[in-house]
Amino acid sequence: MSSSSQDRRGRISIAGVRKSYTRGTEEVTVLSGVDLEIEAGRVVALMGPSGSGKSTLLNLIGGLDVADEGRITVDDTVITALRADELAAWRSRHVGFVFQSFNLIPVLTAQENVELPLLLQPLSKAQRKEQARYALEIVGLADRAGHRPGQLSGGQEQRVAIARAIASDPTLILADEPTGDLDRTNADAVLQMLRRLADELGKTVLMVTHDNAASAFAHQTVHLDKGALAGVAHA
Amino acid sequence: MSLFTLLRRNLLRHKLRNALTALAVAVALFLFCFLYSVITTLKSAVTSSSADRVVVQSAVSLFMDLPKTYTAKLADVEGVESVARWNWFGGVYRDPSNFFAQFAVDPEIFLAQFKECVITPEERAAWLADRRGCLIGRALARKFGWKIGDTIPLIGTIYTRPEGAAWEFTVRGIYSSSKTNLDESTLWFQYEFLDESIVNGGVQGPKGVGVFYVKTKPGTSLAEITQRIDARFEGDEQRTLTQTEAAFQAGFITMLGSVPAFLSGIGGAVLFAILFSVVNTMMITSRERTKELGVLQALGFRRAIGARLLLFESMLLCGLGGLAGLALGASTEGTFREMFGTQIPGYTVEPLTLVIGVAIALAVGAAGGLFPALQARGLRVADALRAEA
Amino acid sequence: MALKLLPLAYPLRSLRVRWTSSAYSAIGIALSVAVFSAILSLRAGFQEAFSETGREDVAIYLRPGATSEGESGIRKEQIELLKKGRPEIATDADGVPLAAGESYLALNLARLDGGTTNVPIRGIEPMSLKVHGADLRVVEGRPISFGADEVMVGRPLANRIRDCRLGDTLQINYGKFRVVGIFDHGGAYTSEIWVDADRLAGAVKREVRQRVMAQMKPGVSIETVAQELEGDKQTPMKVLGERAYFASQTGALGSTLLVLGLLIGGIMGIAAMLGATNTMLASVGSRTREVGILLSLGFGRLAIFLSFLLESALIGLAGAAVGLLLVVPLNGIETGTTNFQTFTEATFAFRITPGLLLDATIFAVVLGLIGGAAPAWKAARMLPTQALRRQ
Repeated sequence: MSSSSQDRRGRISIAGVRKSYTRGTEEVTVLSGVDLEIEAGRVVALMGPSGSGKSTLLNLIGGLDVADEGRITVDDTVITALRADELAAWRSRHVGFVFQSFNLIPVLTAQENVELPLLLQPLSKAQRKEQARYALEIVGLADRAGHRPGQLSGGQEQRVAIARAIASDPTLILADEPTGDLDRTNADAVLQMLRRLADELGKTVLMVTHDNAASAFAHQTVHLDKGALAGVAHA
Repeated sequence: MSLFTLLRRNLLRHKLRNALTALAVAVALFLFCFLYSVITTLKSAVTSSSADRVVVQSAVSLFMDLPKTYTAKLADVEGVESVARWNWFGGVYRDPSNFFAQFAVDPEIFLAQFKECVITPEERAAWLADRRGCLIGRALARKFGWKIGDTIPLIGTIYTRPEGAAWEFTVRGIYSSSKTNLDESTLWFQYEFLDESIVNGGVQGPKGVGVFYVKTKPGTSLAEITQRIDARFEGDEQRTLTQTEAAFQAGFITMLGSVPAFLSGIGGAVLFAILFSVVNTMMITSRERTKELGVLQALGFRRAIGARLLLFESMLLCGLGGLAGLALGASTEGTFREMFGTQIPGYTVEPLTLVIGVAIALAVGAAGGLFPALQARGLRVADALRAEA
Repeated sequence: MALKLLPLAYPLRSLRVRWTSSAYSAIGIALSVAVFSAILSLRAGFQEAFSETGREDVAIYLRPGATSEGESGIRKEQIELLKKGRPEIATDADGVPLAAGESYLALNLARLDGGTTNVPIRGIEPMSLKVHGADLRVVEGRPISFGADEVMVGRPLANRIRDCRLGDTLQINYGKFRVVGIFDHGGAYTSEIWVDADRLAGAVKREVRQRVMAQMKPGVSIETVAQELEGDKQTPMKVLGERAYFASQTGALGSTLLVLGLLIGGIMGIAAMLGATNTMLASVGSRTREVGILLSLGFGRLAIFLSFLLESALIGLAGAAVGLLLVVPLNGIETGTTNFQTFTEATFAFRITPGLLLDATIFAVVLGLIGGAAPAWKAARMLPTQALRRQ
């Protein structure tokens, strides 16, 4: 679960991406031609007012949604050219998601939630168990492995969600408002953890956030406004 | 931990709701099992009928007796091996609600023709020796608690004794049946006793013979002999209608008119109603799971997995409920056989009925899960993730 | 403190929001209602055709012990003795007793839709027609003439039984009888074929008759006559009123249909009720926050309980409406089955009566109420703080 600086993977290249939805009868343009390069192993904060298109951009990079136009390349893979099932397979190997409301499966324990994405990897039962355990150790919750989400605090739930995101050793961690439901102390702990994922494990971390404190933990902050790039700031 | 863990935990998540749904399926399949078994039981009398017996009745009416002189004339028809006289007695034991069938027959010929009527040699000898003796079915004996040696008083409705006195028959044997065409709820007594009572005993009632059971010689074509018998009596006192035993039995089923169709219709309505109940539950379930399905896809599971999980959950739910209902249906076989001993003699739940039942339960589950599953397939991940839990 | 109730619009709106789920449980209830009322309407039709017909001032004489005409047998000389000697029998203007010795037999006839069935044929005397009077209406053709090989056929039989249309010839043993009339009669007689009793006796070579039917003089108590004739030396008879006789002929089938209707309707109802409970549970579950808000606004638990209960009663009501719509087209459809009391085919129609509509509606609303009780109780028992906190 480590990579040296030479063969760092997780480089994202976005070119001319457009996306619009039909809401009711009118068509709403969410992204009107975005070009962006993100280097591997960086923490990038995507910021901007509501409706600026930052969540949509994140979903497009993660392959949860399909762009109308343009091209998104992650390392050597042009993900905009993949079919739905190919995208799913690609996601299972290369992307880990973290959501604002954690989205843990309530009927499964912390350990089982982390094991869930590993079902898609060619691993034995014992390997899955061990790898999930390791991921929980990284987020400091090995002692809560048998608890269900309902028995954990919000901060702990989000840390389990991060463990789930990294369990299969993906190249990208995509986080949508990861601190939105947390208090300051817990939010800072989560941000700290995401930064460590980039610094120590070489992951590329892309997070959509409203949290101004988040940019302090990011290598780079990208501002979006009305579906277009409004500025890029390097820390 | 596997996807099955998820499935199992999800089923247990809403214990009350899923239990109610499974219970609804159980109730429906119990009802199906009962209605279907009524139909198969009625039909089994036809399918298991003997291939060497024909029944001769009046062409005018089943309730019109034939002249006694026909007995000897029938015996002379080519291909006839033996002729037994049968008269429906229609007596009442204490109250009309205690209805069961009683026939006056030629005992020796009857026993020779109906090998499926199983009694011991001692019982046989005792019955033949006693003109007022009778043979009763095992189910009948159990229902009224009759034993060998008991006297059964019957008030005649067709054959009435002077002053309305009761007929008395002594139980000489209790038979069991080795085939479903012969039920175990009938009382048989000697034709000669009935005839003698009409001739000398002041009994009123039809003097002829209700129907003749004719056993044919081996190798005789049933189609030909039925025609031969009817042709023999054309022009005689009464025209006859001769049918194979199967056709004769089938006649009683067509007499039920639209009842079997009515039962099937009800069965269909029940299953249809349950289908709605299952679809309803699975829709509620699927709505709750929307977000979970989004998460699974975000983790890299294929889109179809979510739909399959829903489908499988629904089939599992219905399968379990169905098994419970069918188990109840199978285990109450004996109770219903006792309860409807005289109306639906020999009520039997056939293995095939249970197999069909399981298939129906799974089909209802599949159909119930299909709609929500298709809905889940059509969902965009980004929307699913935004859904309210 | 006055009970603060929630407006009626609240449960109505809630039903609309969850309309698919509400519709599914309503349909479940509707199907139960449909089956329940179909069976009961069959019973209503059967009763209309039999037990609720027959006159109080007409007596039926059967052989003692017989429970139906088919089992009875009365010799002709006994019949003459009865007609002439019984003081209770009314007479016509010429002083002739209004009494007829009738024969009855279940004919083995072919049904038009396949198979055979037992159709009752009644041998009548001229006096039979006089006693029936205006109750008997010949709707096509003419009444039979006595002394000829002619029959008239009850209206429903013409479309169900072979050789029963006007102008057809019906063969009975060696007799060939022409169908000269189609008749209608308020009750059970419409399932019958009528023929001159003497001609029928000649055709089937059976002189014995099955009953005497006679009009009573005004003020005669049939019960007294019955007691008198029960132990009579010369002509022992079982006597009962025509109405009572018909009622005794339907006992078994009528009660079987009632039991069947209640049993199957009940079992289906349970299943439908479980469906309604599920819908309401989901409705309550997804409105936890809403309940919390209502509680914090000061609505009482009873108000919330009643509101949810009303919602599920409305589901039941909708089910009743749909179920009855499904069943109403059955009204008037004629069907036949064998009445095992008489072993003859009885033709009768499905009858949807106002009482049945009411029963079915009550049945559906009760299903909805029972189904909704537990979920409504669950909603009413929530603590406001808990309800608000839950997501």
